[in-house]
Amino acid sequence: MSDFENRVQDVFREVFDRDDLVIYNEMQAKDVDGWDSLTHITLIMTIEDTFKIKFTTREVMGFQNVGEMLDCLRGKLAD
Amino acid sequence: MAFSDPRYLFLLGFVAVILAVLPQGRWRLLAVIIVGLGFYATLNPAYWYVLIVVTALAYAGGIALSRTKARRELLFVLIILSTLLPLLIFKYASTVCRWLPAGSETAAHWSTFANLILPVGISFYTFLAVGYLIDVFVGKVQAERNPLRFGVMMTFFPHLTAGPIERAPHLLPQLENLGVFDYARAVAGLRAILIGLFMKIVIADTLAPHVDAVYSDPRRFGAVDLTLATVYFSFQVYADFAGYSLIAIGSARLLGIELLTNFAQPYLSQNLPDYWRRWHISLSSWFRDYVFIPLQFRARRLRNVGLASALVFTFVLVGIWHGAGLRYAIFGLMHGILVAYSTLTFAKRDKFLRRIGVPAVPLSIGRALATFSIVTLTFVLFRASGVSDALWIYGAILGGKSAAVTLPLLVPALLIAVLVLGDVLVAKGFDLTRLPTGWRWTSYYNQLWHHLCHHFPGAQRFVACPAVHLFQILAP
Repeated sequence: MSDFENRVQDVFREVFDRDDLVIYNEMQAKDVDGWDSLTHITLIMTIEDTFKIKFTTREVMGFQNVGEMLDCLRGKLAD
Repeated sequence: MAFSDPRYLFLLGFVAVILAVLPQGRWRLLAVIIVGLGFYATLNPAYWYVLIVVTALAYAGGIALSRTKARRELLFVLIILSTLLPLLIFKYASTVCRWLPAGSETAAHWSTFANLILPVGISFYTFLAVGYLIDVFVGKVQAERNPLRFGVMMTFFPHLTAGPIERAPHLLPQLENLGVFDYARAVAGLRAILIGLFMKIVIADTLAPHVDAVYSDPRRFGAVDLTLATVYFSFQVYADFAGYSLIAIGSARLLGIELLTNFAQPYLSQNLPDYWRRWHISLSSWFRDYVFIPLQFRARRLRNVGLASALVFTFVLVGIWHGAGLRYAIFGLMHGILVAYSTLTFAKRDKFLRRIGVPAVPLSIGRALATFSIVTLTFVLFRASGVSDALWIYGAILGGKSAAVTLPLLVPALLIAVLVLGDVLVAKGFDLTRLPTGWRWTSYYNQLWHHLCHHFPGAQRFVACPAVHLFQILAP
């Protein structure tokens, strides 16, 4: 796992309050206890704050799994 | 033709056989579209073409969105508005016309709109179409280019009249299974249909006359009758709608397709947000994904205020979706405020109750009862003839208005107990299919005969129908 992925994973662990959470590309909301529409927003906001970026509504609505979120985030950081 | 019409079951069996015989591919897809349109036209002889219009708009809209790069937002808004337009006109035009001053020239000019009848199922297939277009726009699903596959998704008759509201990413990939017979899936489908018929015909249709008797003239009755009728109404609506959804789900299974779950033991919910995750799930999740999440995301920097406003706004829309009128808006507003309150405070209250050591089982029963009571009280707004009647009923129930009790208790309570017990067993993970064969087949047999006796009273002369006889003895 790259340094970038580790940083994202730390955000997940903080938001879902689980130190052993391991993220993977195919992971979806249903795979994580407590990932509902509220923690989802907290997750998005914490990622925005951690990486100092902004997602658009369309991007957020299009995420189907963690992999797509990571791809979008990578794209923003590369700009 | 309604799902509870016995002719529907014959049609369903016939369609299942035809599909299995036709070669897989375009002929099978075409056959499903023809059956869907025919089925829809019998229900909706005046406005059957609305389905074709919405389907064509969504099909063309999806392809246009996938090809356009420039001014994509503008195109998206135009496509969504035109797809929603038939629903908005049919659902709200007559109400808007009634606001016009009676007898005026404007009112006369728009009088055609005042008498529009809502085409059956229009909001269900419109929501499917709009959800698909949004998914294409945000890149969640590829635009479907094959008109036959798209047509089947839109006109698939099991979900056409009352949902579940399907999603393109869920339904389109399953079309390879259309008409492919699988023994286990077909049996699960038939079982779902039978349970659905039981909920609809035995439970909902037995409770309905008691509810109607009280609600047709509520001011004649006292607090006990009003309370009973209101509770019966909650179970009537649940059994009716969840039963109908199960028949839809079972029918689709028989044709190889798995539709979305629509009800998950809603009256065992532990709080209101939980209730909305279990009641009419395909509708509430639609509003969650396409209205609430984008709104909340846009208001995310306002934290809890943004969250609460997004919830209230979404629920008012859910309310107005049920019908044009003040009471539906009030229903939505009440639920929005209560869901926001519960969402923001549940964790704290839960922690407190656990710290003072409230035992788990009574707590869970108490929460389910409290949630059920709140939901049931808000249903008064639906069933009463207007806001003023609803307010009067609240006053009479809470004020304990006295009058002779007229509603029966035994049979409705038995039916409700069967429904709740079934839900508790399912929620506890008990697999009803593991009951001994004898029990299951006695129950299937009883239900089937009850269904037949219900529609063809003559059938009782030929065969003993134990369930019906039991009911005739118990029923007042």
